[in-house]
Amino acid sequence: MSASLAVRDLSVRYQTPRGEVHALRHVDLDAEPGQVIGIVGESGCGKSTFVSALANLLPPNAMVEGAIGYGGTDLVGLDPCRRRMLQGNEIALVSQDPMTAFNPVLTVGDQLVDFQHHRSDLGRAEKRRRIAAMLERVGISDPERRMNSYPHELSGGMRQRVAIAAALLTDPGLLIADEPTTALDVTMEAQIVHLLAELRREYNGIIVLVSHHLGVIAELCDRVYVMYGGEVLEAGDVEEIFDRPRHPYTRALLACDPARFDERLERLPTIPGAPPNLIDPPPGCSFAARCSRVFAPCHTTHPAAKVLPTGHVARCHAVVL
Amino acid sequence: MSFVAEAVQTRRGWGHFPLLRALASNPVTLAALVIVIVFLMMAAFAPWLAPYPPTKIDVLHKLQPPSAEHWFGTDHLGRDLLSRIIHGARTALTIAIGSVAVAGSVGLLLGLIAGYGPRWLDGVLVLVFDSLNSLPMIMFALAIITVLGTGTGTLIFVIAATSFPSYARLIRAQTLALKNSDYILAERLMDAHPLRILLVHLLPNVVGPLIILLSMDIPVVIMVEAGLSFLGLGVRPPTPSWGSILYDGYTSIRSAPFVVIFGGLPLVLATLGFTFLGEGLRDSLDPRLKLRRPA
Amino acid sequence: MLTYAVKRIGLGVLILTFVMVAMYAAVFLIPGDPATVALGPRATPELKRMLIERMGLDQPVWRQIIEFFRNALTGNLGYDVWSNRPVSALIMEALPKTLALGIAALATALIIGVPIGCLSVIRRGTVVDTAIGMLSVGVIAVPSFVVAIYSLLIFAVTFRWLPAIGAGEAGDIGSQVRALILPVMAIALGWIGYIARMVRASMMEVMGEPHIRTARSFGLPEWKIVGKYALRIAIIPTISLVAVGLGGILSSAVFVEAVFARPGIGKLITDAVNTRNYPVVMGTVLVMTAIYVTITIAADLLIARLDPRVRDVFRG
Repeated sequence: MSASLAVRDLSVRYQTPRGEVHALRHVDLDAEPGQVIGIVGESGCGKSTFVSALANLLPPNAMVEGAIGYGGTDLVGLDPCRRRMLQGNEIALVSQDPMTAFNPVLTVGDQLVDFQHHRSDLGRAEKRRRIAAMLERVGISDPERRMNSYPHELSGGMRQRVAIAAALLTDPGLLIADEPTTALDVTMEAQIVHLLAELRREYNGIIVLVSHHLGVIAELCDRVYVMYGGEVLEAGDVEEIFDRPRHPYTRALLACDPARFDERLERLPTIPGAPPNLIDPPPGCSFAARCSRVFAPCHTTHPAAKVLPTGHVARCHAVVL
Repeated sequence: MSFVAEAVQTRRGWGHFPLLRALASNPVTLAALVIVIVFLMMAAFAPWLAPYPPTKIDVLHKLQPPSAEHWFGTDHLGRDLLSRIIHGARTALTIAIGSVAVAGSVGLLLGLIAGYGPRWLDGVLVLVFDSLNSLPMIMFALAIITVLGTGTGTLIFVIAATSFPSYARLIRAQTLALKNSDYILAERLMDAHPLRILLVHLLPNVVGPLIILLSMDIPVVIMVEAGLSFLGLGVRPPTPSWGSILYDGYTSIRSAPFVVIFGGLPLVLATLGFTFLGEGLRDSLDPRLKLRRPA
Repeated sequence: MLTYAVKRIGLGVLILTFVMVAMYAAVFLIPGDPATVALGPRATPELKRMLIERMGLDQPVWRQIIEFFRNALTGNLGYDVWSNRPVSALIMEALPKTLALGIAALATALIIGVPIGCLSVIRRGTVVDTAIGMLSVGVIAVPSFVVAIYSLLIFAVTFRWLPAIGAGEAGDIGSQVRALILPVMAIALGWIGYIARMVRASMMEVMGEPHIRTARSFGLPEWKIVGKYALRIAIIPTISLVAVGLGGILSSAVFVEAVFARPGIGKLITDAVNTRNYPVVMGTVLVMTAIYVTITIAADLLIARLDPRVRDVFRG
């Protein structure tokens, strides 16, 4: 149950009527069992494509290059049938919107029984017992009754707990949490973060946590990957990224986080401009158009990923060793 | 907003190039269009196309199998089957287009009244539409035929009376949706005459979907006419109808199966042609409209 | 849920009343004397008067309507003008045969149509999907009684595999089932196509919803995602359309029964129309409309049962 994850030079392109969209470009990522990996970035930076690629949810018009090594197997090259068998067994996903994540006309228990389809060694009653225990563990009281509820009868926070329980039931080596708190209100968010922090201590697989909420990332993660324009611009240990960010984009992002301001500001800071067009990405640095430290080569030459002594990786011409 | 509404609003109209090109781009729709045109020609020029008068009886040559003189053979009274089928196209299409036109007009008028008129009138009309819609169509048709007797006029009346509620409901729904749109509200605030709003704004926007629905109902009407004529409750003999041709063939199905075989062909081809053409129209104009039910 | 049911049933009764009043009024308001039409122009005045009395046409219209409804409520639908048998007895004889035909046709269409629709979704975008789509439209288009006549010609007349006419021997289930096969297939064929298309259309909508993505992320096999997770939702609109369509099936039954000479409701009402047998026509139309309205209401309630979201709206 404990395998390491090594994503190498992963690119995803979509064929659309308006042209080819380079949704993900040359992404490298490493994770060891027990680690929590954070992925941050604005909307449209490639986070969801990356999650879809890990969770085998890419649409049929997606073209994938590179490798997703998991426990020594390349998931990209795996035949579709065996790839599917890993889903919900080795790899589990907690998806974004708990309101719509469950089938509205089937009971929660019924769906969670189905999700354990890999466990052919267990009977239905046994599966339901496991569900009850797991629901209890994620903090749902009266699990027997909740199992017979339909999704719309549960609150948003409770549904997200159920979603986490569903993922944990499969005992995955790789747990992907795609914006698990975005759709929740602040108190619910705090509860779910608390729950994830608790699970983190007991769980020995890899957790990939995607969020645009920097606080959540800082709270839960060991390593952080900052994504922009379909690329990883900076990666490093959580303290390094938050305390000594090297890439101008990371700095700008941190400067915009309202939670980090000590005093009330007239205007919240923003990063001027919009993310690049992924149909025709710029030849140089993807952040060049919005960067405050831009200089000549940024527009023409694509920056290589530089490994810094602190374990940082940054794609920026302005960063010097 | 649908492509239909846009097309009507920009006054590009219906019969122009884009629509025809869209229809012709799908080979199936193109084939359907050809079939429909062939049947329309048949109906229009029946007396010139048919080799014999459709009611000319020749008992000496009854139930003749297909030959050089009679391509499809003759029926139990020695009438030329091909001629009867060609003239049957005229009967079928007269009734189909006639009843669809009547039902469409009545539905359009009542739908506009229900959607735009006073609330109480809307309530009454909706009850009428729902009541008529909740009747099994053929049962209702049979009841009216009991009263009015058979004949072309009765058929048109019966079919129109049973089908206008669905058109009226479509028009009503569209009118209600448009009535509360901003630009109609603006017109009303400027004290525009209700008739002006009705004719200038509502009418052009609601006819598009109506025409698609009407075109999709033509094969249903063809089937109802043929079915009722098959039962002896449609057009009066000796007027040739595909339904009565089938019935004549049905009575001699063992001795002369070719009458049934040829008699059923125009029905199969015409309903297929009109259905696929209607599908093509819907797909290229307003794909959200509902699917046709089987006949 | 209960108030909803009561409301729907109330509306159904209202519609039924409205329809019968309208029809009754139509019969008597339209010019032409039904007795003359029925007996032909050469009938004697005595005969005519007798028929008018027997039909109850000598009473004022409103009296006839009230009379008809009062009798109908007690199960008395009047008497056959020619044979003098009670109309209710005639209907009770014919109805089971028609209902058997309609229900068997609908069941056949569902059993075959739903899996075909699912197959279309599983193989979406492929040749299989396109072919199913075209075939579906094709079988929807062709009138059921033409299918009936062709299948009669092929399977009963040419190959003699199945009986050509009748509803089978009384008490012999085997022969009754054999007599049902051709009429059922004639009616079901178009409905197979219709149901397949409906299932495909509503399922394609469901397939884009996030919960399908969740099911995928757990690696559920495609047939299970389509056949359980999507179908459970997609079947709801399909059921309402199918139920409304049962009225259409009963209409097709009129023609198909004529082709196979099945002594059902279709034959009963066709003969009655041909002989201007008003009480039989009225009684049959009333019963068939009542059945049709009941089915529509039942479908609405069934939908409320199937969709827990709707169920809660009506419970609250």
